[in-house]
Amino acid sequence: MSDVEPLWTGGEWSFPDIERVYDEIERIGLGEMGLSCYPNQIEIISSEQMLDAYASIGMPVFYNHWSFGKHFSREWDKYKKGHSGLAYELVINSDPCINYLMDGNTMTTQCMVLAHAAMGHNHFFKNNYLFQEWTDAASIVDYLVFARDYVAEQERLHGRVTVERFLDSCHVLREYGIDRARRPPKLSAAKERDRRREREAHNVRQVSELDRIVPAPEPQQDGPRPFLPAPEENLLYLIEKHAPDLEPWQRELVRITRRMAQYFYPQGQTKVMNEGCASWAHYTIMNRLHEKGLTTAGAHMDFLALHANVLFQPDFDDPRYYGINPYALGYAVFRDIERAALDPDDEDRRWLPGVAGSRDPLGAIKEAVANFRDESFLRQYLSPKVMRRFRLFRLHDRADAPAYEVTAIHNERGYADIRESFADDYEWHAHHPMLTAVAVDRTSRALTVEYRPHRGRGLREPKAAFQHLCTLWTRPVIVRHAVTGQVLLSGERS
Amino acid sequence: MSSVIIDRRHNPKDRNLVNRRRFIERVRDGVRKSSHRALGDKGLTDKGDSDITVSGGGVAEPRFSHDPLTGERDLILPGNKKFSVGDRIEKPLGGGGGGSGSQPGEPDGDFSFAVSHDELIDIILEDLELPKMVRRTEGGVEASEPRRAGFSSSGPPSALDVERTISRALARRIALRAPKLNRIAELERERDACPDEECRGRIDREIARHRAMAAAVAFLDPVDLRYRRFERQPRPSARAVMVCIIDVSASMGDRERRLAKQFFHLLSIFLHRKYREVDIVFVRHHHEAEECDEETFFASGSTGSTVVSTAYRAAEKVVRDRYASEDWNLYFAQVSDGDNMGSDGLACMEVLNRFLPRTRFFAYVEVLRETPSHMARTTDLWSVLERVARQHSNLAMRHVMDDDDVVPAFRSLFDGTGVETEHRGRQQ
Repeated sequence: MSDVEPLWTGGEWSFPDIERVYDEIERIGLGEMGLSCYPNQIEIISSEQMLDAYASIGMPVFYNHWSFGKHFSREWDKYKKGHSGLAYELVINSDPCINYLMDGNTMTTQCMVLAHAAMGHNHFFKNNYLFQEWTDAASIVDYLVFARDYVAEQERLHGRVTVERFLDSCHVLREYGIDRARRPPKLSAAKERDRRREREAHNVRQVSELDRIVPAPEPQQDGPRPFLPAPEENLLYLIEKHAPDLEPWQRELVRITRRMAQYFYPQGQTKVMNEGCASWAHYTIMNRLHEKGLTTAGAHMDFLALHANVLFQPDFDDPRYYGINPYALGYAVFRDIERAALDPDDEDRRWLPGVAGSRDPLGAIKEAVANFRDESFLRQYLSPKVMRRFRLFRLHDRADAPAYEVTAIHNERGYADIRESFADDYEWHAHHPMLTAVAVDRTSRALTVEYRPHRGRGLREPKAAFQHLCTLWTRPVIVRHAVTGQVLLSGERS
Repeated sequence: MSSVIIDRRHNPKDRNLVNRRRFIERVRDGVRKSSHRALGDKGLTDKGDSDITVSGGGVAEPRFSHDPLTGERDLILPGNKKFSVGDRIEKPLGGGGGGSGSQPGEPDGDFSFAVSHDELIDIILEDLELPKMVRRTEGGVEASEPRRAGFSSSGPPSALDVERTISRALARRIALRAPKLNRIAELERERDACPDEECRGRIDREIARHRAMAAAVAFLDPVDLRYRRFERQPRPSARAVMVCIIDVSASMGDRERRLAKQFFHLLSIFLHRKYREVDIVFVRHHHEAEECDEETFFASGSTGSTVVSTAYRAAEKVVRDRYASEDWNLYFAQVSDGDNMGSDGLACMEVLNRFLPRTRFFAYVEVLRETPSHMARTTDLWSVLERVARQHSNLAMRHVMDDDDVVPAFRSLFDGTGVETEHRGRQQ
């Protein structure tokens, strides 16, 4: 048997190193583990570029808006003052899948990052049902280019401030641009062509309108129906299609915001799973590389330190505590699934039916990756072993009570409660007020929105956000309590 | 499946600079307002970054979010050490613990970020200029004066640059392998010392060759000649002098002096940045006045009573001695607490009336006393200057109370509307 040479020695990376390492990682990921990924595109970037990418929500192309400058300033600040390190990587759900590697990383880090992103995240993007249904990896970059150019063009036509202001309003409703109950149509290439034609028609209409020097756009008398066939939770969709007095370019901006929200929706819904899957992948692959003798002992030690760092979960009373670390939680659950599949005990058979003892850990993990989101994933797979590992406990917090009450801890009586509550906390409406459009008045076109409080919670200083909603709807809007009918907010475009 | 590796490090890295500029534009007023906090501590000379906090509508990104002070929720937290079911934990004052899952919405409060020194100065000084700067021309032709402009290969003998010429000649001789004269002398000595006929003949031939080469390569050739060249350049058509007058009398406390320094620092940076041809003259005064250097000007301690007219006279003298020519645009900037000896008012008016007609702009900044507003009274100097300003529209007056006022006052003086606004201000 011939001796195997390590793929690299020392800390510095080089392009040939990365290429060889990637090939080995792919051999393990696709070959041995049977992951299924989009082709990878690996891009080396500098730390400044990484900061840049952060601020554009991680996208390679994005339209210009002051708020990104604000976020950029904050990240830049934190980074310069050493409050936060930069991410080692950034990966984009696109086909081909774009992986950004920072040039300051050591070769060990690059290797781990490749295993993490190019295999783990990539597999997740390609196989998770939410991503499959909600995003179209093949067209996203094209769409971003279109959005950037469209916004720039409108700024030229209508003035930067006007367009930025309008986008401000759109951004306020970012979370309300999603059909959570329906499956959205994909941004397919053919649709995209149609859309483009439609857009061109828009442009023509605009130009001809300019030609005719029509002072104000006419309300569309014959267009949309002045009532709602059913309650609509996708407020941006409603606005795009039915807001009475928007100009075509404004509708298009609403649409762009909506499409971006739709693209990012699965990421918000699968943070734990996505990072968990990627961390599980990098851990498995890095270990296999070392088993094969392809990494030196030193490099492997470096990796383990890095791994521990990434997966660190401070306790709730630790000053470093900043919520649950999705990497740590997701990784723990996936590793637990793997373990239970191979070496189950009675507890696993009770809590992880179907997985325990299946002898097919890879199959079980792929099944979980494909068919769940954080909320259902935790409901299905969070086992007592993981709860004990994290020493999870549940606090009940009533706003009017002077103290929290401990209502469950990691023991036989508490497992089910913790699992339920934890999963509930990953529901969309646990963190976003539920607003549903319920009626549009036939004559005044006034919009009625219902607020359905989640566990008695009120809205926090909603006036500013509400004003933006009025701007978008262009006619009077009222928000009323879904149960009591009390009018909470009412106003119109200023 | 194949992978592609691309080196993007040389792509532009400032994609977000556009967005950052837009953001800063949006918060510009807030930045100017709080710039003293950033500048005040470190001074304007510090080149480091400054922390700026801006607040209010410009930076807020409102969202619909839950009010944490209503309703109920269940929190799942890691790291239980001692709790069992039924335990109660007192809520910390000022807000609950963080939940898991998504982050809480960002409150519409203050937003802090760092700006670089240059960025901050740019924001503060944007669009400012010295008012009424006049560009001199003489008979439609700009005045010009000779300026050194390198060297040329021709010129009058008086402009011959000997050093440069000789060094070029030397370089040429070396390049053409001209033998050195002492090499020939050396060979001659060698020949004279040599007993052997044949050897002497060889050396003679060598000497002859050297001589021939030396004759062929001139010691000094016309191509070596270099002359100093002068070009007539238009004389800077807009020359200006700024006379800074600071009150260092005993009545100027720490706060007054700090604000005065901030103002003059700002002025000095503004002038250095925007104008190449501006002289700055520093005058300090209490009951006597003297011209001083920049260091003394900013370092001066406080003593003595106040006679402002001495400063005006000193300034007038400087102008008469050094800036008498009509080409000079005259500017004055004065910071004082307004304290002046009562009998000095007439003298001040007299000097000012004399030189204000020649002056482009006189900026007077008065540091207001920290007194309750009902006790505030117009100071001696302010009322004198107010009377002067009725006849001379180029005298502008501003009050500053605290650090927040310095940048706005400075901007209002130099944003091109300084003179006019103060007119309106005074009529109120």
